[in-house]
Amino acid sequence: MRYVIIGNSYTAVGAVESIRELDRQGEIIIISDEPYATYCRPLITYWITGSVDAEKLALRPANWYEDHRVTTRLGQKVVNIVPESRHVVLEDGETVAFDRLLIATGGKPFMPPIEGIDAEGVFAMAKLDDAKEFNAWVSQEHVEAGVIVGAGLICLSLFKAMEGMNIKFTLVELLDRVLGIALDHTASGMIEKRLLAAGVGVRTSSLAEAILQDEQGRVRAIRLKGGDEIPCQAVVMAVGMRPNVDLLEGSGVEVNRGIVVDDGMRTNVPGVYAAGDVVETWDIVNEMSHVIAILPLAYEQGRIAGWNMAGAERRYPGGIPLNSLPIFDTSLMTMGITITDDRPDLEVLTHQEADQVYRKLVFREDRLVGAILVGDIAHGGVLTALIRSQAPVTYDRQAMLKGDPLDIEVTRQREAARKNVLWERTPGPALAVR
Amino acid sequence: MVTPAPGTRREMLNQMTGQYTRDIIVDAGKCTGCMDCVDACKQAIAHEHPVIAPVARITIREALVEGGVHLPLLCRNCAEAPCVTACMTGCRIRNGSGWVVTAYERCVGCWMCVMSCPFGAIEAVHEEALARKCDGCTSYEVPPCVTACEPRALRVEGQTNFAQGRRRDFATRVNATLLGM
Repeated sequence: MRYVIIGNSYTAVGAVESIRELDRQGEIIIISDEPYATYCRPLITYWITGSVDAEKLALRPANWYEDHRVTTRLGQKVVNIVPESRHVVLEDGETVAFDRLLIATGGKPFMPPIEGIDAEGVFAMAKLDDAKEFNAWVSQEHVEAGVIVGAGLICLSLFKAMEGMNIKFTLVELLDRVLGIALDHTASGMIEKRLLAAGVGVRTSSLAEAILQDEQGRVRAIRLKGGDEIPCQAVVMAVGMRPNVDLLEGSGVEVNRGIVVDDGMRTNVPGVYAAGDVVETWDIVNEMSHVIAILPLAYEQGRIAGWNMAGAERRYPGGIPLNSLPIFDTSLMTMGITITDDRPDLEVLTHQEADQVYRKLVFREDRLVGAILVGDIAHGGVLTALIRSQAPVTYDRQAMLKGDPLDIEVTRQREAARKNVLWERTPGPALAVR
Repeated sequence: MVTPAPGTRREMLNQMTGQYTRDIIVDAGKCTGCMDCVDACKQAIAHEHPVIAPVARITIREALVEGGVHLPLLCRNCAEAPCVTACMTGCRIRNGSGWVVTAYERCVGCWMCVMSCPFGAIEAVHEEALARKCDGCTSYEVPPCVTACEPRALRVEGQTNFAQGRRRDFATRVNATLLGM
């Protein structure tokens, strides 16, 4: 059996690991247009600051490919898939035959067609090369101010990067609040307050109309709808990701917004599977299929696809939107349905402690369908499990809301009440603390 | 996870747990909430926390049912572990001992695993920006929390024995209450 995987990130890693559980003999070939061994994509913004080095950026140890007997063809782009004769065509015209094919090409950043988008100093932030280009630009040019278009997760994780860079960043967001697709007004307001306190400019309800260039074609400023101009020397476009389905043209694989797959990650073409950010996933809480481009689902679906490719029948029950992000000193989690405006079918419970803690639970009848946790994120996984399983919730909802679904406070008090502290620090390997 | 030195008995035990698999079984009905396991855990892991007070990787909760049943919570070492699935740095992975462990030097504190763990067994240690969880103490013959547990609510046991014990307990209860034997 010859498995070919297009893509070399979380989905591909998941697929390889599950194929090798069942099939020690088959040949696995990974083809990727990026010349790097598999790396942690969300960490590229940490890499910019240097808080994560090249070694820590690797998702799996260096000998992982060898251990799993994977042949890699890195830096080679697949341009076409021919399911009838069971091969893929590379950029240089070479063909690679397959018995089972997994399309795990993920997403590509959406670059809105605005004036000046091809100016020098405009970056996407989706892969390591983007981060490298950004780093090179910042070190070469004298960048005093930068603009990030789109206040999504990519953008917010960038703020980790800018702390050490002495760049004054401004956020330009089309919606009326930051992280508008995941957060409600209250939670978003808390995050915005922290951004402002850290010296980040926030321009919500603003549409970037044009990127202005100087004579050499470098970014000079960005013009918003209404005429405002923000001077800047670097622009990061983080408007969103789109499924990377260019190579499927003419292949007969059904594509809606993402690739259409069944619950075994099979496409409509026999022997061709797809998983990860490139597919449309069944959303358990919204009860529809759409593209949920998040990391845990990518790995999970890779695992399911791998098992099915190797001959085991595994069903994928579907996923839910999940986000977790530390922003400065505040942690943030969202699961499932979080925007509840104009949704009379949902029961919403909220709890707020000054500016520090915000918790919101969203119920549909007796099922939990969504949650926002800001500040106090302990045991968010219990909520995630409740949402994913759609089990009837019989617990005390007020206790759940106060961050106490498992009587955490009782335990804390009991722990504090124990006077005879038995433990003491014994000498041992010290751990670097950040 | 501190890797035992090569050639030591601890390393041998580590490999043995991988070969034969070992589970820390929780018998919630027997827990009295005495917190001895929590202290034992702190004692065992204290050297991994050089700056802050040790954060125990096992906790006891009052379960949500009436009557206050105590529920020891620690890593259940899931077969298809959601924390491994969600880990964006690849620092959480099942190692040779069969236990899902964490390479803390690579953890960046993104809390993705905290968001995924259905047991709430992962502690977000904000001071260190690390997501700490039970490593199974696979290089110990018996994990310290199990040693400390007097009512034997925590046990290192095969699942067959555990299930048989639970059935025997149930039979005893039925005999005592219903049949008056």
